[in-house]
Amino acid sequence: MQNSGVPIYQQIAEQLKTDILAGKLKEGEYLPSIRGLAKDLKISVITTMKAYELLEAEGLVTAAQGKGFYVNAQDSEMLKEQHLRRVEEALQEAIKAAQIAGMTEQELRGTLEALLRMEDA
Amino acid sequence: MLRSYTVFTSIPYRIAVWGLIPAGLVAVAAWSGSKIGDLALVLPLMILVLTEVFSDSWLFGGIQTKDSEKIDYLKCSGRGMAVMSNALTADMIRKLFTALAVASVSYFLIGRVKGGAAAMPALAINFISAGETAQEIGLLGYLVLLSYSFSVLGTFLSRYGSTVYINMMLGYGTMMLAGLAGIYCPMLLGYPSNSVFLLDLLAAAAGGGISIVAVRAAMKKVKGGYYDE
Amino acid sequence: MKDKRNDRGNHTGNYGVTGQENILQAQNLQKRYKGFALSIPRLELPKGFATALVGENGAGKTTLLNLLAGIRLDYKGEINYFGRQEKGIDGSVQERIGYTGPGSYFLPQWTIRQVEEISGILFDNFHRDRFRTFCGELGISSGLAGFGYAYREVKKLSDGNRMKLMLAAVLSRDTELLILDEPASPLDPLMRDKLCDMIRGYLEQGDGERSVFFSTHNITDMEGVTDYCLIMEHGSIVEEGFVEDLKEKYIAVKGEAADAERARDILLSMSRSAYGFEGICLAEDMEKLAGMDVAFETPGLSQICVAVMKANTKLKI
Repeated sequence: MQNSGVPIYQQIAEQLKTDILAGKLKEGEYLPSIRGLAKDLKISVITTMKAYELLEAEGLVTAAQGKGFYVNAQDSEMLKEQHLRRVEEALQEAIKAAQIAGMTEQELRGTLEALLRMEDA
Repeated sequence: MLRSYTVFTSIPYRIAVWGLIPAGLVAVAAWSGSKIGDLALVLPLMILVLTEVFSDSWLFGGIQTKDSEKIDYLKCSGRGMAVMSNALTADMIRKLFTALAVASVSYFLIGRVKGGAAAMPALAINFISAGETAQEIGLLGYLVLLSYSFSVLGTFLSRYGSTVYINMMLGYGTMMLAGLAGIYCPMLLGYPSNSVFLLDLLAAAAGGGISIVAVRAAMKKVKGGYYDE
Repeated sequence: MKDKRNDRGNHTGNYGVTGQENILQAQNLQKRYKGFALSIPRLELPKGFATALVGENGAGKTTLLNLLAGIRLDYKGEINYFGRQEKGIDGSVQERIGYTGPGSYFLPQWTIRQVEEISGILFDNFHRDRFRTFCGELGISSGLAGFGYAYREVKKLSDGNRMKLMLAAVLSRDTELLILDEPASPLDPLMRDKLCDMIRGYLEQGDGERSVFFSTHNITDMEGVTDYCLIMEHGSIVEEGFVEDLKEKYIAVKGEAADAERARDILLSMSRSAYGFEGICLAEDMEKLAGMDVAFETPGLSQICVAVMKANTKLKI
């Protein structure tokens, strides 16, 4: 069981997130307009919108009525929070998949440990 | 209204229909005037019927055919139907104006080249110099209206056909009829006489009637595109 | 698929940066021909987006677009444009709409220059300079530079160039809604890409005030400009939604040949080979596939459309 292929909106959100966390996009700065970015990236408006909404849900940006999205203040606490949330999300995804696949808790832990060891080595 | 019409005309159409054809017909009149006398006036007006039928294929050609052009672009504008109707009407007026212009210029030209008329064979009818001035003008008017009526009839019918052959047949057919009516009707009524004014009336009524039918038929077809046929 | 209206309702809050509005709303649209009936109880096009209309040949796409563009008036029902009080279409509404269609559009004997002239008197918001720029840019009747191009007759243009000319004419106007009937079909791949750019550029300039509604068979080519999708079959809308929502509602499944028989009833559409099967199912039915050795993927819009069409078609395929 796998879920291959990262949706485009996620790829865009990731890219913007990296830019924000790296400080390329500064606090208070507006993201490109939704339709402007869609045009530049040759993707649909809705896909761009979804990427922005993802960022908003993660608290990285805020939607200003009629003006677009601006970058929120990023403090180190929040950064950690961000990463923690991503770990949680990924693990939840794994748990869900494990349930569908009928894996036991033991097997799942085993897999995680095996993967961790591979990473260390 | 004029603008509605001019946008339907391309540059080559304007050059031909507003310039070359009338000039050519006047030249024909001048040439034939020296050969066959006053009857020569009928000739350019006959040919005009033919050129009108032919040149219409540039303008509104085929708009009344069964699988006709719906011209959706016109229906996209609130003004589309008015523009179309204006253009069709203006074209009728232009036809009348062309016939009038060709006839009057030719009339004066032929009047100047009367020299040829003296040597005319018996067949020729001495139209112009035969009657009073008023009757002459009446005859001129009759020929203009006749040419116009047959032009409109020819174009009206040819808009139902989309092939060159049909247009050619219609063009020649209406041209011949116009020629016959132009020569024989005045003769039958015993021109020179005031009966020519009756012919004027008849030709005017026919021309007006056919014009209305022609514009309505074209508009009905174009508007029909809004609905199922 | 039954509760598609609710889908839309859920997302009116999500996707509307300024609250989701409709550019066009229709109720109880009915149109009958011999052997065909169009029947759409409710239709709403989201404002600020590009909406694709997909469906089999004969599903009624052209008829629907004709009704909306106001070039066909013999129908029952109400259409409300741009949130106006009055129902129906009139000159002032048409001024704000640009339509291109596959039928007779220009009179074939018109020259390109005449199309420019005529556009100028038909529409107040037509810009000649823009039209000329488009004609040059798109290479309409290429090979005839300068003087020559303008006197080319429409009937002498290829289908692709005729399409480009229609696009040039509608895009040279300041409109708020484009209704494009099969714009991609006559165009080559490069021009299709350009078409998508033009649509995105149109939406961008409108900044949420402009919308596009187009029909297409070339879903893959047009997916990059499709925000909302309507799928029509037999004169009705059988599925609709924002593309990103549809991609969550449906899921692509790949599995082993051994499971094909069991998966068959769960999947909306399925193709089998000796090696396994591929298909589309509703995301909510994913659990029913538990225990099978299957892989899930986010489906492409084209896959979703084909699946929905297969589930609704009368064809035996």
